[in-house]
Amino acid sequence: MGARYSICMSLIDDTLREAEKEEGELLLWILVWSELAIFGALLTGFMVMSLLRPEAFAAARQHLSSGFAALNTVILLSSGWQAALAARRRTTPLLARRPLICAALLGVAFVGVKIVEYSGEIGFTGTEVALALFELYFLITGFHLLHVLFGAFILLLIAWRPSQDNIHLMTTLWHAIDLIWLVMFPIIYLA
Amino acid sequence: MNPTPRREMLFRTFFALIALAICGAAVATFAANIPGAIASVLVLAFLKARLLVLDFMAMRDRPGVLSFTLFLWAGLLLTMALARSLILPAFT
Repeated sequence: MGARYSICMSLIDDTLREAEKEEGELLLWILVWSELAIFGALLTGFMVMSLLRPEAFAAARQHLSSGFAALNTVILLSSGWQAALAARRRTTPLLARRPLICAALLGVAFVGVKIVEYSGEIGFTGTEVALALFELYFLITGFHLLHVLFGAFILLLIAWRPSQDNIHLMTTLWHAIDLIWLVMFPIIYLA
Repeated sequence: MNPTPRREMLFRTFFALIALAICGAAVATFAANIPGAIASVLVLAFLKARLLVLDFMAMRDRPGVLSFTLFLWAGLLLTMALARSLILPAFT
């Protein structure tokens, strides 16, 4: 009787844990998609504005530092690689600490490079013509930068007290931030 | 101790992503005036996004709908960027 009861309880526990996991996964993807939708709308706005004011955008774009942005792509890809190493199924939460810290520090490096880039670009925002591009540019890249900064902080927190679920949640979000940058980079700087 | 297959795969993906990033930057810097350069840069960006989704986000073994919608998001925005670059001369 006692054995049957404990089997039943363990089955109920497993089912509840599975349901909680599915719920967490759904919330994670709602969060990821809300980020993608926001950045999708912002980037579409940027492209529409560049069609409406082509000369202003072409002139202002000359002052964007695509070299720094390319360096930041490499930094963010390296960070994403470390986050993916941390999220491997066979990695124990404690072993995931080092790659999580590396991913966070590379995120901080991204922020540092972006601040240096901004310091060179902010001087060109004076004219009204350039302001049209730079307002959108700072809005989109600044919003992304805040995501990177906040994400790096959360990665450090998770590295301090790692758990498999939190690692999966945060590294997935981190990759979404990475994905947004990969699409944003050519749209804003190159194409 | 040998590295696990997943670790090796992630390293290969990382290496491919860096190579694609360098190719994209090189095309944009040295071949910007050549026809098709912008399309090449955008295709390289899509390939990077695809690798990131499949390998870093571990989507290769998961339902295809999720990865497909992520590809769709990236593909749609990059196609819009390509269309913009093609119709931009008409606006100037």
